[in-house]
Amino acid sequence: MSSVTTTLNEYRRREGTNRLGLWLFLISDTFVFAGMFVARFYLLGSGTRPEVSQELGLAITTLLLISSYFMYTAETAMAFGDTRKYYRSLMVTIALGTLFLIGVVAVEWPLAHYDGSVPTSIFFLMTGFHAFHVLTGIFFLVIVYRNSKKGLYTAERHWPVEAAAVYWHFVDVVWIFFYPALYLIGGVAG
Amino acid sequence: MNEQKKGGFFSIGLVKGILGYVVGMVVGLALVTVLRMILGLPATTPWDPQAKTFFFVEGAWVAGALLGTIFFILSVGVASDWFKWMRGVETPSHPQDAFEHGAKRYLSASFDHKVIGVQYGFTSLVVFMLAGFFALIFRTELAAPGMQYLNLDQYNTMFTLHGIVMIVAILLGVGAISNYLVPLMIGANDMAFPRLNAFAFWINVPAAVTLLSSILLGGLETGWTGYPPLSQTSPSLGMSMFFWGVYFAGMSSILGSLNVITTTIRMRAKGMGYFRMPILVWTALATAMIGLTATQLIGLSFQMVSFERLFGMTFFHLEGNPILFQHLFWFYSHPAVYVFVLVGLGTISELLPVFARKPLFGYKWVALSAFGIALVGFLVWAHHMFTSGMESYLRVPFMYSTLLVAVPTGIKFFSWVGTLWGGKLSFETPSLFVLGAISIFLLGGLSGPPNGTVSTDLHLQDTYWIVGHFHATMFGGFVFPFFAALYYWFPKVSGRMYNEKLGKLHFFLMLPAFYVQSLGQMQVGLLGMRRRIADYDPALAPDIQLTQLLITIAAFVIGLSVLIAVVNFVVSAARGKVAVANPWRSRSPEFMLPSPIPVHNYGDHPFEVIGEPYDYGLAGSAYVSIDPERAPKREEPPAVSATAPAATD
Amino acid sequence: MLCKNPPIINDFYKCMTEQLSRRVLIASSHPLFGQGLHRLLQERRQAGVEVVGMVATVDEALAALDQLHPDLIIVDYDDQALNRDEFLARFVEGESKLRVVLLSLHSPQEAIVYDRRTLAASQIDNWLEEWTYLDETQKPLIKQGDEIPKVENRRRSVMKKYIHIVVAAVLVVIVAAGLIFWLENGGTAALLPEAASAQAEPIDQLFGLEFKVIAFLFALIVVMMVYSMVVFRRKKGDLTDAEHIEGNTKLEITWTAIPLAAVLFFAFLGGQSLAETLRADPQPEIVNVIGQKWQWSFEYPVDSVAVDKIASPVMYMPVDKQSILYLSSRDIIHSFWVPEFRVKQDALPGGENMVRTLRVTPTKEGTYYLRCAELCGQNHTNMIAEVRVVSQSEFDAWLTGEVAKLSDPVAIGQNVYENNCKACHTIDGSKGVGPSWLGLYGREETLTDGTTVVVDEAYIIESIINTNAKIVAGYPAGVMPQNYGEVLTEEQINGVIEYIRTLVP
Repeated sequence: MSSVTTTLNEYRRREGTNRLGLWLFLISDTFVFAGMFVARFYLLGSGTRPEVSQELGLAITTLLLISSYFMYTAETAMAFGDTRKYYRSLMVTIALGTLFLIGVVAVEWPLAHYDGSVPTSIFFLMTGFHAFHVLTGIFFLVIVYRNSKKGLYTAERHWPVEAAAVYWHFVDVVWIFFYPALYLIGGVAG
Repeated sequence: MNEQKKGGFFSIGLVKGILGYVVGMVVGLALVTVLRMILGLPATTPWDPQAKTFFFVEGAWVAGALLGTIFFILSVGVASDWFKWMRGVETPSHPQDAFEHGAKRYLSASFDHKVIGVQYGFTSLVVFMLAGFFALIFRTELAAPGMQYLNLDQYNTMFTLHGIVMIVAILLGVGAISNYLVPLMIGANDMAFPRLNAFAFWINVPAAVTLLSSILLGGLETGWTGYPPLSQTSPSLGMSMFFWGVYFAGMSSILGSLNVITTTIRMRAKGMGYFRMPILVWTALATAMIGLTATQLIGLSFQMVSFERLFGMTFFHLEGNPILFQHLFWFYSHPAVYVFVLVGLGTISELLPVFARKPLFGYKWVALSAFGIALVGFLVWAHHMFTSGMESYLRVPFMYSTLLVAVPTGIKFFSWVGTLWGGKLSFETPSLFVLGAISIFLLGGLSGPPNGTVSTDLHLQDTYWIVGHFHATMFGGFVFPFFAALYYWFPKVSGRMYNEKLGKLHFFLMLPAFYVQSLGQMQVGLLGMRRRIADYDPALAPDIQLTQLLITIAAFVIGLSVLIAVVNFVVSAARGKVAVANPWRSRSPEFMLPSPIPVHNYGDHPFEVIGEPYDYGLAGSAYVSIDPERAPKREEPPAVSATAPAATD
Repeated sequence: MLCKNPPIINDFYKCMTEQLSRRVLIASSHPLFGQGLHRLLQERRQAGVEVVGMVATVDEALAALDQLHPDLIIVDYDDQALNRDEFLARFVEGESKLRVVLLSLHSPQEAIVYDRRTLAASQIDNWLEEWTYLDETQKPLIKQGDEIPKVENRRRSVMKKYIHIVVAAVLVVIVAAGLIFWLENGGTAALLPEAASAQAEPIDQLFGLEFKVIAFLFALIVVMMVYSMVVFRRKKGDLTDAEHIEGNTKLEITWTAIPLAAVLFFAFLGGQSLAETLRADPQPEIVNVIGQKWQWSFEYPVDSVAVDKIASPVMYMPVDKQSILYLSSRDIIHSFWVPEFRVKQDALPGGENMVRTLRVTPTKEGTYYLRCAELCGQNHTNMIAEVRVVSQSEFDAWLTGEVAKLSDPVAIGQNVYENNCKACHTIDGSKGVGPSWLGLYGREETLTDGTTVVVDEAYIIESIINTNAKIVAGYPAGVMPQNYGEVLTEEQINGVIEYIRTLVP
């Protein structure tokens, strides 16, 4: 939306509409993840899980959670006009998110050894959907980074930063449910 | 998009989009084929329609469909502003249409909700006729026992496509009504997200193309419900086209719903409280809440089967569980039926007061009943699965919740009778259609409880009774109200009046034909005819053969009546009598604007809510004023005098 | 829009002009009418009224509309020289927003306000008729804020309301009673197939009740609707609204509470009848019902030295004894249904965990048809099997006979064929979903990859166990169930080979 030529009031009004739109989108997206979550328990019960590397799981989860912290820092910094802190924190978020992605796709997936069985199918389905959202989230963050370099955002007007942050936190919250469901519950599926 | 006053054939959005689809399809096919060659996997198959192989592997065709859809969207031009935003370029707050007027405007990207509404409506009618055509094809086969001209595969493909294409037509029709009317009824000048609106419309085109390509790629043998393991093992490539076509159509529904919700919450004019909105907006909102959330589940369930086919995943077969698919699928597909009918029911509630000259009886109750139906609708899905092998005891709570839906639905019916009772009814075409809709939806609704009761459902499941039930609810909840809406708002949209005689002819052909069809279907189902069969068992034939013939004839009569309507609309839009602004003496705000409605809706008019929406019979009252000369400070309308017999809530 | 109707015409105009707008045009060819009005309105200039002009003919009036842009026209209804019909007809075609008052000095108590925004051109004739009609009768006074009274005499209207309800109720009862009478006396029986199982009883009872309730509710709503359509029609030319009734909370609560109670009651009944259909008898007859594309096969456990079960393509059931059916599928979802038995259950693939049970107690001897009730692909239409309900002694005799048959390999093979293969492979040479077995043994076949092979024992065994390895050209892969290797014993596969050998043209 046009950020320079509108009055602050009009901007806030538009921002509120966009905010509602974003949250509705996330509510909708939640249903997909909820469906997969249900499928996991329907198929494997609550006593089994796929065979995956716990250390790796813990590591990438930590990375993602920390990245969320830096996302929060970045958004707050932008709101207070601290651009240097904003750029640094945003960079860290992107870096950690990328590491998470690499951890899942390049390391965990080969280790999990997909063989078409129910446990590996569920695992790859859920982590795959989630990784896709992480990827698009990173994409979103990179765009926001570039546009902020162009000076498009100010402390009063930085809706895309808030939007990217909310999206990133959403992706994190999904993982907070998926990680225990896939890694922590029960014993390894026979 | 730059304004293009002239431009050739290739500047039309639809044309560009189709070309983009073709290019995307080629790229997708090539990409996967080449990739597989590099990886040493078999990259091609023989071209043998009998064996259902079509040179490229299934994954390649899917990639082609996906890229085709993406390229379509990019080419038609609805995403250009979004790319500008990504690059940090500013855009005007309301985007400009590709064309300002003429047929090209409607065939290209437009961001005006009224144009998009017409696009939805027109596409809905076209798709509706296509689905109806498929029905006529297989109904002709069913008219007499024995297989006359279709083979079993073709028959299965026809009824599968009839089902899913009808569903798409209904979603488009609901989209037409919501998109065109919601902003006008709440005093807004457009939807909250015009670009998203355009996107949500246009993605239906590649979705439909993908879906229909299944005819050429091996047909469909699963019914629109696509149950695995049949849909997972079916050798037809068309199966995947089906899944991904539906996926993108679902995306349209989700995004359109998002828009309607945001618009209704954020863009109501001053004074337009929730309980002062026209009732149609309530139903559009309830519909959108379902569409936003539940639709994701059909996307997920279809994706999961698609991954089973493409990547060999196991969810619903072998050690997986086919019942899981049904849970995921019906969790959407039941609420979906309320998406199909709620707006139609809202149309009935909206039109009855106008043609009875009497307030909508119990407006608040009717408004809340829409939400009641939507909410309870989320809790009933397993009634489609009573014979599926789900846990036996679990069927009982679902029976209770299913029967409960009758309560908010009943409120609507009683309210309609209450509105009509003591009114001053007139019977123009829109009025006839809503009255007919009520009786048909009643038939459909009443045939529901036997299905919702587990023990009787054991006999009825998968029979033609179910087919009769859902055709009655669909005709009563969508088809008839949709035509009512088309006739009712036609003068407002086109500026011309339709032909009333032809409208009545349409009605008087369609109503009795439909009753014959529906009652016939219910009868043969009760007697033992299963659904989705190409021919009926000789042992059953004597009992049901005549009915089958009658149903087929009825189907043709319905088809004829629809053709009459379409001709009426097309010719009247070009040459009908010029319409006045408010032919129905409606209180609704859109009728205060001239016909057709100016581009910016209320533009600079002040939109003031000065009364209640349905106060017919209250002297001196009006609902909305857009008159700049009315005092900006409005006085409260005078209190109803003591002689008024009206009871109050 | 309408003003209080005071006895003095002056106040009327005062009210009108205050309520409406400021620029007034007077249309009358009587100088006194016009001047009188003009003076009255001028006296009330403090209300902001401006008489912008006086016209005496239609053309002048139309021209004045364009040039002077009045908001209100007061038209002398009685003026013969001023052709008010033509005036109104032409006025309606115009674009400007305008209100018109028709004023008659003959009836000082009344005036009709015509707001052009609420009438269509086609309705002008009706409107003029109405004006005439209203002129002839004594109309009740209209006050601001009142509901616009109905055309009928008010005193009678209250009585009429109750008469309508009573008449409609009587009609509802008549129609409903008629339908219920029909249902009770053969209607329900005509709608349903004959009931041939014990489980059908509670189901049919519930159906009977449900149909009656449906009949009643349908009659209730439709009769009231049709009654309204007949009795509460709008009279031609009547442009007034109906009574302003917004709702009735008591009624709303009633018609929410009663359906709620009814619904809960019916759900309860449904639960009861379900429990009855699920009732387990001790020692039922055991049948394994196996569905596959596109035929049924029925396995009966037997206690014999040679075999532990026999398979039959026809289902035999002893009458008046409960059979417990263990339903399963070899490939995809099928569904067991005999309409005369009523109950239905899907047959699921996936092995032991997915076996589902159905209890059926046939009550009438005879032959029925089991038709697959879940779409299973191409030949779902023809996935039909015979069900023979026979006396217990006949049943026992049949079972013994089947056991005796299973000593001969060819008979074993034929039994396998009829229970597993006949849906897709013919034995008369005609093309089915799969190749015909007639003359199959020893034949040279061309495969999809172009190579040829001679059909021998090894080939047959491979085609059963590893179905997609060597497909004959022109036939689709992925259709034949892949688990025959586990399902059939070696003896059975041997039997199939022997059976095929006998199929020479």
